[in-house]
Amino acid sequence: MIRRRSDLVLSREPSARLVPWIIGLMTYLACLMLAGALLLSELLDQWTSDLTGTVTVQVMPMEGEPPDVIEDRVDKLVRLLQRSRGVASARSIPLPEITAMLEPWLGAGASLEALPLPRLIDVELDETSPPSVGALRTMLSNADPGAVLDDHGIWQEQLSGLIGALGTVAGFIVILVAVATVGIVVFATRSGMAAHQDVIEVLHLIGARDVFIARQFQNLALSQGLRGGLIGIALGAATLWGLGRAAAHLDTSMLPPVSLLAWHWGVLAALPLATALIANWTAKRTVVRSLRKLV
Amino acid sequence: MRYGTGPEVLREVTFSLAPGSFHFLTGRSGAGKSSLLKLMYLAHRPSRGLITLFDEDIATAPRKRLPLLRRRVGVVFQEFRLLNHLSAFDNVALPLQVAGVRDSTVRKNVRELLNWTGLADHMKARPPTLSGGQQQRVAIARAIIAKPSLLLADEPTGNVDEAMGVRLLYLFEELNRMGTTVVIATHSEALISRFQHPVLHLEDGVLTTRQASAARGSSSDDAPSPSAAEAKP
Repeated sequence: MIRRRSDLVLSREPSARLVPWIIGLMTYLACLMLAGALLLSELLDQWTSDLTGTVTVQVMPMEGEPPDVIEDRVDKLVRLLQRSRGVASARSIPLPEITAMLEPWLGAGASLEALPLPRLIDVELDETSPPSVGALRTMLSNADPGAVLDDHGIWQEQLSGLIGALGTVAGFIVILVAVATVGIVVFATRSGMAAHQDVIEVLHLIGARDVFIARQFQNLALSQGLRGGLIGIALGAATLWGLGRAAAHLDTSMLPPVSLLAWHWGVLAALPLATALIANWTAKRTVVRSLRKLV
Repeated sequence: MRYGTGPEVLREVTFSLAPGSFHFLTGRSGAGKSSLLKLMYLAHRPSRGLITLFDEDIATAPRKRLPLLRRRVGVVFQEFRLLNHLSAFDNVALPLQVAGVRDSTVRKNVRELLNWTGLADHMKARPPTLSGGQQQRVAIARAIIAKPSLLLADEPTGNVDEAMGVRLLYLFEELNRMGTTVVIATHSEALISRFQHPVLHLEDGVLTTRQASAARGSSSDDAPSPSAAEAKP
């Protein structure tokens, strides 16, 4: 029969029903941004780990050079690399493999025989005692002026910069969404306080402390934040699932396979809790600050 | 006391209420009765002067002390100020819930008091469904449920018939006998003459005191120290 102490102030208002949906929309945006940032970070990690400890040697064909001569140059360079200190392995990448790499860009039926394709040597470095890349480059160019060593440094640096920038933008948007959520809760709490001013005054005058009154609004905000968060994460999960399905139909040879890991889903699943806590904290701050104006 | 930059509503107000005393507060509409009560139930602080409540200067008391002082003051507001979305039972239970009293005790005390005030059949009713007199009794029950040291009532008999008004006054006297200091703002000369308690009379923001049987207009403090409430300009 007795009413809960945390449920004394607020009657159920139709306007309060909208708040979880707005918070849900914010959470949805945050979910997509966060998922994007996590995917990019995962992609960068994959690329970096694939490329770390490897270098590629391109052997450029000389003008008018017969095909068997370039094969000899490549074999010579492979043997030289295999003898070099700090090189774990070196192998010539066969022409069909190179052709397959170019297929996404040039198409399956392209005739590549007529093109002066450089030959590639994949070199794995000894990670325990890696060689100086500069010394390796000098050694190779001395042995063959048409040999160019690519340690992927510039590409990695540019890619890291781009992904870092995208991650920063995504993080900034997540922060903006959090700030907007705080704004929504402040607005909703102030509206609730204005609508229940008489109730608040009575509680105040019969000796309720500010935190007691704030708790009434906190509970509502917590519930709205949690419901909004769950709406947002459900929509976000559905969207990510849909995007995943669409990506599965793409030709993945152009992009390495990347998907959200278990801990990524854990981070996303924590969003409703985060929105609920943000809403709860915001409501408390808003109410307590407003009540300080009373005697 | 003044509201904002307006004129002073209360000026020459000096009085002291002895613990356990019973006073009527009278005066024409606009004389400052409600303002004086607001100062006493800590809805406002005085713009100048000194008010001591339970030996605490409320003009300088830290804000965090005020809720504890308010819990010792029961108030029957002129417009009742019941919470319309709560039942009569929950309205009466509020002061106990705010004070952190256990639910079982709250249930027992509220039922008892609602029985006593004749509202046993209306415990679950919400205020808008109650008559004016019933709402007034709920408001009074809410004011006295926590056994306050000081009870302030602003026109508590304004919406009830004479018989109920007399019955409520007996209830206040009963509380008074149990040690609660009572101040009742009223226009009813009939009640004042029937119950024979000292009268605090406000006119143009100036307070005068007269004993129950004394002629109107004499001015004297009638209470010894220490006081439940004390005000000086």
